Amino acid sequence: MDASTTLLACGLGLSFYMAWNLGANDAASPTDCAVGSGVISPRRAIILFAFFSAVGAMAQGFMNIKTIGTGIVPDIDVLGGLTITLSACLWVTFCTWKGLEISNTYSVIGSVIGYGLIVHGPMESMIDMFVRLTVSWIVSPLFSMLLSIFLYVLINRVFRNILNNERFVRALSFFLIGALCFSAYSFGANDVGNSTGVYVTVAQRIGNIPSSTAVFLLAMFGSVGIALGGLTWGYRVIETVAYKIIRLDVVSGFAAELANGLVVYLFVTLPYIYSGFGLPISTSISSVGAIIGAGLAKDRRAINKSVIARLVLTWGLTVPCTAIMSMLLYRIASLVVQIV
Amino acid sequence: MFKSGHASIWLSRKIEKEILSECKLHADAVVATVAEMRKVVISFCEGNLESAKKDFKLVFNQERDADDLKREILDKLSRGPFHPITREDVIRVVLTADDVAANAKSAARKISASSATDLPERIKDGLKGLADMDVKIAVKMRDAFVKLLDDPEAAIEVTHEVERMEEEIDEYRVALIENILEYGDKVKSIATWLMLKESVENMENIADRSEDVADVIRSIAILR
Repeated sequence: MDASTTLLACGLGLSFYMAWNLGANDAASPTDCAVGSGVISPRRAIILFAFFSAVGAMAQGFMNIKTIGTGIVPDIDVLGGLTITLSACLWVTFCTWKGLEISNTYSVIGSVIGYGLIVHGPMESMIDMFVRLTVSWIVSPLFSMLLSIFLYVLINRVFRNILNNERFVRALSFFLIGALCFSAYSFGANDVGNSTGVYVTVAQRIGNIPSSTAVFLLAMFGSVGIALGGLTWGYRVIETVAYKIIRLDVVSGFAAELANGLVVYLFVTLPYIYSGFGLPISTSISSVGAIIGAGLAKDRRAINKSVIARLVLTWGLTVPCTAIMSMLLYRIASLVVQIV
Repeated sequence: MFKSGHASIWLSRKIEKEILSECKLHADAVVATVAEMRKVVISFCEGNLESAKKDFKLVFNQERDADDLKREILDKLSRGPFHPITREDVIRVVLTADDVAANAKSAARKISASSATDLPERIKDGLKGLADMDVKIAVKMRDAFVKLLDDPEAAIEVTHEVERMEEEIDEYRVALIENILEYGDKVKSIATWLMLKESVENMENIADRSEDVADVIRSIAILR
């Protein structure tokens, strides 16, 4: 096995771990409201999550895979693919170990930016992505919060006479499960690129395959990891989040879930239509924004401003930290490869 | 501690930390109530019933402050879409700590309604000793709260100490009750004797509830 193939194998292994981590930790984002409001059991929610996130990854994952693979830097070599994935994995693992909040999306993009800075120097595409990321960091949770409030108020206004009707609640429960499926689909479309996007150019070169085939294979590979992560560890996270942390009823759960799914979907799809590249966002930020919106719609005192502010700041640190780590890892790895 | 990078879990842990800081303030108010109760017992044993009645008003006010803090905490725990991961345990700990204050108030009320005339010295010493031990166990319970925020393992050690102190208070109370029952055969007023005996039961309940609080603190510490 030559060096490139070895590095690629190691990198894909880490990629799979990244995908597994995504599924394990973030399966709760599309499922927490539905499980917490009692319309579906965690086991069924996980199965729906695994299926629909795979569908989303295969159907639209190419939009963000393209962004991560070629939208920030023109190409990523096999060593770069490994060090980017390693940097993101180390950061995610460290944060999980310390009980810190993580954003997989920002970890990967920060790592790609770090690689780009050391290999290509500051490029317009990197600066453009950094600006877009910063905007999405603020806009996506605000948007999902406002959309959630809007949906909650709309449902309460339109259906106010039958809100307590058992049949209405049962019907809404089915819609909530539908929102779960849509949210999982959006999640798959958004997040599969985080784990496998860095290997687009490498896969094309080494496999001697067209870009579209490379993207499809990488989407398939990532979606398996995400589904496995959800099915193995995601169950625990969902139970904890849905039963111990989030308190939403069917109406507010539906508003939050649909808002989250829509925002993630729109951020992936609309920029792709406009510019040819999707815009990866943090599904956890969007999910938190939507839940806060649903909470605020019910009770204006329902927000702990200081804690939310600290959470937003923590997210903001991810990009610079992973960029620096990625730069260091690539530099060290290059020296090691030269010596060997 | 259950480890996950999910944003909701992080949020929940931060909210939990804030709530536990407020629980610590509530624990301070509970300790202050028990300390005021001790003053009532000392005044009573020294034969100064007027002073005991005045001191009881301070117990009453202190217990009301603890009640207000408890209501604030419970109100915060029922608000918002994100809750602390140990919400049920925190509710239990606040309600049980509140019982400590309630028993202190009850003990102070009953003892100030009793009479120290002809009360044997050994019973007076027993009452003062029991009141001292109650303050110490309440302070230890509060220490467990303080440690819980920064050092859950140390908090668990403190809860074991609370347990040991409760056992000592149990033994102490048995001896005191024997003396009180003996005194009951000779006492002129059954009503005031009954108030005295029930006051001792309340003072023993302070230790029991403190141990219950320590048990819940231990569960929270294990999950952190």
